[in-house]
Amino acid sequence: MARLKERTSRVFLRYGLSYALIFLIVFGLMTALTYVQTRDQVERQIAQTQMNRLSRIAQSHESLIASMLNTAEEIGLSPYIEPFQFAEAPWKAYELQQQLIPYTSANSFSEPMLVHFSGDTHLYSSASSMTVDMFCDLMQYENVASEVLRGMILAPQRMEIIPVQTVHSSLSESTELRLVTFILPLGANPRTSKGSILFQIRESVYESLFSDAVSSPQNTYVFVNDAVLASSVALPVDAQAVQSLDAGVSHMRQNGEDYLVTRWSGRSWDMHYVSVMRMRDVTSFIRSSMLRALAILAVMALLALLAVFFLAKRHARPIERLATLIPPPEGAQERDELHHISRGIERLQVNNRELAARLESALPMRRHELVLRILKGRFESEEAIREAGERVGLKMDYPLYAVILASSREGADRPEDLHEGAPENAGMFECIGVELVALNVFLYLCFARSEEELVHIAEEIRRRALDKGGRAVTAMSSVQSDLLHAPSAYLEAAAAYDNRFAMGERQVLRYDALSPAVEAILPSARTLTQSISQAVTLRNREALDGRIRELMDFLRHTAMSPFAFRMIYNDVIDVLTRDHAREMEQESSAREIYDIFTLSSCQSLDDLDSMLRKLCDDLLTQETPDDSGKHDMMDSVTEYMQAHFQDPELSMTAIADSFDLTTARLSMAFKERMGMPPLDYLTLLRCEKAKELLIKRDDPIRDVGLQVGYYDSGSFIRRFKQQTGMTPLQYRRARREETGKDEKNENE
Amino acid sequence: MRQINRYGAFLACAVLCLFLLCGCHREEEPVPAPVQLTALQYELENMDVDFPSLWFYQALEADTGVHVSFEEVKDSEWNSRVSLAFSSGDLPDLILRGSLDVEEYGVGRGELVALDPYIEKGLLPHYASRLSEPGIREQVTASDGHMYEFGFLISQGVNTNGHFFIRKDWLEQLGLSMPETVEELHDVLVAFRDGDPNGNGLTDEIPLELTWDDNTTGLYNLFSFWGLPLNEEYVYLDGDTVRFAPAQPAFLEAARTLHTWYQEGLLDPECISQGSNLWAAKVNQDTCGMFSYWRLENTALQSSIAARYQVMLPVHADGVRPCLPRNMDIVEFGAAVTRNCQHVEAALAWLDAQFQTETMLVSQNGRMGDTLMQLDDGRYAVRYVPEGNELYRQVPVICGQFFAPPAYYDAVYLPASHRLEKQAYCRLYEESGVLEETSFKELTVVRARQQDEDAQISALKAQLKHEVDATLVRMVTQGVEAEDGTAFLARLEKAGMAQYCEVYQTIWDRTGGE
Repeated sequence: MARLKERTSRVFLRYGLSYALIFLIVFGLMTALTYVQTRDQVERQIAQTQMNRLSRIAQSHESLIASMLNTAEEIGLSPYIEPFQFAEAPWKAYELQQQLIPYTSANSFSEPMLVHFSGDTHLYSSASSMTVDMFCDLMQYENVASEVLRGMILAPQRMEIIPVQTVHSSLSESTELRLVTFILPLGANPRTSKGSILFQIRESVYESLFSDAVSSPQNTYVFVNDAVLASSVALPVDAQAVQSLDAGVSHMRQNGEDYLVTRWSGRSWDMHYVSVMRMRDVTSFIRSSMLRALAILAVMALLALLAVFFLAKRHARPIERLATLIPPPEGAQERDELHHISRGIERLQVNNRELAARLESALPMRRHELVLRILKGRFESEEAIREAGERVGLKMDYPLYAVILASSREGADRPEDLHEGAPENAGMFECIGVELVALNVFLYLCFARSEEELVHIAEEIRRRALDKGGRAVTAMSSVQSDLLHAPSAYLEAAAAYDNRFAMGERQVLRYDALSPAVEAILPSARTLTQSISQAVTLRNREALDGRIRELMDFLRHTAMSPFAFRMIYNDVIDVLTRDHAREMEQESSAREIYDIFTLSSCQSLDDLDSMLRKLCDDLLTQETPDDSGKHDMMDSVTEYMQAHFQDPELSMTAIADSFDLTTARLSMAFKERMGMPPLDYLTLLRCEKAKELLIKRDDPIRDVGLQVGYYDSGSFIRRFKQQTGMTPLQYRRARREETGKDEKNENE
Repeated sequence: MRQINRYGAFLACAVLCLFLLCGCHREEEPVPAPVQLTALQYELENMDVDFPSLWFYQALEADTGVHVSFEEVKDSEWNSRVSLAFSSGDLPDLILRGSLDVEEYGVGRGELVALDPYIEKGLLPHYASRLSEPGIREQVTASDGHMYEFGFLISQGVNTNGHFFIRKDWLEQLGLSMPETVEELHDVLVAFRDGDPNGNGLTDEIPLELTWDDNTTGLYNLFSFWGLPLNEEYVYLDGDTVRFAPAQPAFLEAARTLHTWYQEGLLDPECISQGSNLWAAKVNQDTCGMFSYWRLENTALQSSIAARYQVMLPVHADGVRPCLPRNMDIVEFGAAVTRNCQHVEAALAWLDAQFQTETMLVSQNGRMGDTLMQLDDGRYAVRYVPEGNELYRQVPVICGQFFAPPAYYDAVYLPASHRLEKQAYCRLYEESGVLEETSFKELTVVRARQQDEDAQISALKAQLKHEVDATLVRMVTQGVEAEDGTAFLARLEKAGMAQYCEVYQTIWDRTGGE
């Protein structure tokens, strides 16, 4: 057992590993494919995101510059803002301040802008005014000398841009500022410029422009010409190296680090916007994206694992089952289960072939057995007979059948096969022949669709027998349809076969063609037979002896042919077996008596007498099933009726009352127990007693009627005649005549 | 199984004992559930404080048994949020700090709880005790005579914005005494201009350094020499009469003199257009002889430069008492209880507890023993100011309740040295009688205005300011002609001067005058 378990778990493991390997390969390929796709996609997305970001920055930055240019142009072209010189008209400084307020508000991204008019010494803002010299002294640019700054303010040739740098200011509470400075000519044309305007933009404004950077560290630059105008730096990258790269997306390596550089060119002013990211951050993005994909794959892998388990289980199960059913032979070397199973199947095939051969050889015997069982009435239904027939290769689904007996030829050890040499007959009929060695006959159970075909079969059997030069006595039962009547059919065939002495062998002896003379005797014999059956029912041994004696007396005193004799005892046996078959099934002795072939071997009245007595004796002595209180009560009812049947007042109502039953309930239970209604049983009791009185006494018929419980002699006579087929008087006379003959014969 | 049973039995015994112990425990006095209140809490724009988690409010809840659920509202959203609360009717129990139109919501709509009855009942002992100082109760009393708000006041004891300072070393160097009249001052300024007092051989001295239109460093303060308290609102009180300062004869007289000084180069020519940053930069260049300013210590001035100046009283023109605009402590909005509050007395108790002296100083300066200490004389003083916004993580500071009128504050708190310096200057000016009698802020800030009056004042002031400043610039830089006075008055009239004064006069008269 342990070995078996070990083997089955090994099968499961093998299947599991196989499926796992398949899934592993599939998932490996999927992972690799996902990685390649994700890597490209994420890198493209990042590059695109960076381009979009730089584009947005450029747009925002250029809108700032455009706003400054517009302001410079508007102030330069405004008819309300006239250039002046502070020394000549200082009050205009105040007026200019008021006029600059809305422009300052419009350029809130900048420190208050400063306006300078050509030829003047001062700079003016909306909040203050001072000389250019003072401004240059108070605003110390880290990388621009005061003189240079002064020159830019006093005579701007074009838009001057001072990239971001530290400015030491004495004009601000924050003494150190990081500023990007734009100095623009006032007006549209530098040559006709009224002066200049100066915007100082804090680095924080640019930081806010760059603030939409993704969370990973990166550098963002705004280049103007070749200088860094403003930047947000988080990585140690040389800005000049970045500046020299082409527009678009490129890669750069610096200080052992790889970078992804995205460069966007501005629309004007030769400005470029560049972002720099570490490639390892890009890789980290790819990794995090991959993690999401891997999470999905992990879920799928989990499901695949379950699938592996179930598939392996499902596929291992039949092998486990087969291995259990077909274990390797004891002592066999441990090898692959499939090897053992295939070897086991091969062994089974060999065994099957041997078994099939044995079955094939045993088929006639099995058919023989089946036919005998059918004829002995061993089946409860036709369906059972047909199913049994199919099991031995016989088709019995024909509407009609007959039993045919044919004398066996000396040296011929098997019946004729009517299909042999005549394949055209296949499906038209079925005929199974068996040899009844003891009787020296072949018995054929033939099925066909019409009576003609059956007759034709019987004639064919006779013809073949004649052809072989043997005896050709062939007898056929009447055509039957109910397979349960096969025993009767056999008896009919046997009766017809027995008539060979009268009819010879010239033709098929058909039961239907036998002399109708037997029908004159049969009613009387049948009445006597009924009496025997009733005596069995009454379990009255004395009456039974009397009835059997009556039957034997009748038969002894009646001249009849062997056929008539066979007919009568067939009838006797048929009635008894039909009425009391159930009881007979209980005892093996009864079955032995009822063996149809034993019955058919009955050749004389003495044989019949002894057989009948034995049969009846067995029926009477067998124990009545006593498995319910209801049966007990019916036994009591029977005893009660036997004790009181002579009482004319005894009625069904009285009996039912005595046993606290309704008449309907009594009637049903009694019939179930005794096979007849209680009233019939009562009549039977009374008639049996009447017979006894009629024979033994000379009492008038009316008195006999009274003694057995009939007030009315007419009613007594009518009932008696119904039971015996003759009036009480006729019965007395007949019995006495028979007794007289017997005595006379004995005296003689 | 036996072991499990043993454990089960032990557990059952333990549970049983626990129940028995619970049963034996003496029943304690039930702790009352705290009163639940809701509040709109003003928050500075750069503040990000979770008020319920502040140690200060947790301690306050433990003391008062009042739990307040704060809804913090930033400065930029304060007005709209308050308006929404009153218009929707979904009012909090308390409104804390920020600003609130008490006239509209208290007087007009009756949505605020009047505090007077509760003060009379003695339910606000700490707060009520500080209302008796001069000019305080009036500031928190609405136009219907009731008090609907708790005031917020950190008294600085400041009565003057701009004090005059002059280079004492230059005076000494040039052998000059402190000027007392306009003429003496003129002479001093001329001496500063010509005497090269800084000794660099250049005529780079700026005798009088000024900005323009304010009362700290601005030209406006110079009008006090002619007895005219010119302030940024342009109105002042002459007894119970509201006067428009630029329309006074002294204005033209002063303008004429200032033009002369401007022409003579005694005034910084850029004073008409320069801002305070440039002003400070120039002063720090050690070239200025005189200016007016808030104080010297802890300002934009370099300490080495500041040390060379000394305070001076305003000079006066002939026959005129100098008169500077008087500053005063203005009570701001501190808190109000709305009609929605179901536990008014609990709410008032919670608020008044914050006015207990130490609690109040702690709310402003931090914990005792840490940032706040108590001196031997019983007064409190700040030990140090934490870096950054650390203080805001413990106490509400400016967003809490604080009500310290000057006398009370002096008695309980020792200010920092620069505040003491300022107070000394203020005392000097007060004692010298160079300040206007009734502060213009009494009229322009303290006295309750109605909404339409407020709108009118705002509109008219913008026009008048433009007219005054433009004219004054021209007068100072170009001179005052004879006809300028009439034309100027005509322009002022046109700009709504009379209406402007009338509105203020109405307010003054309605609120009881002096």
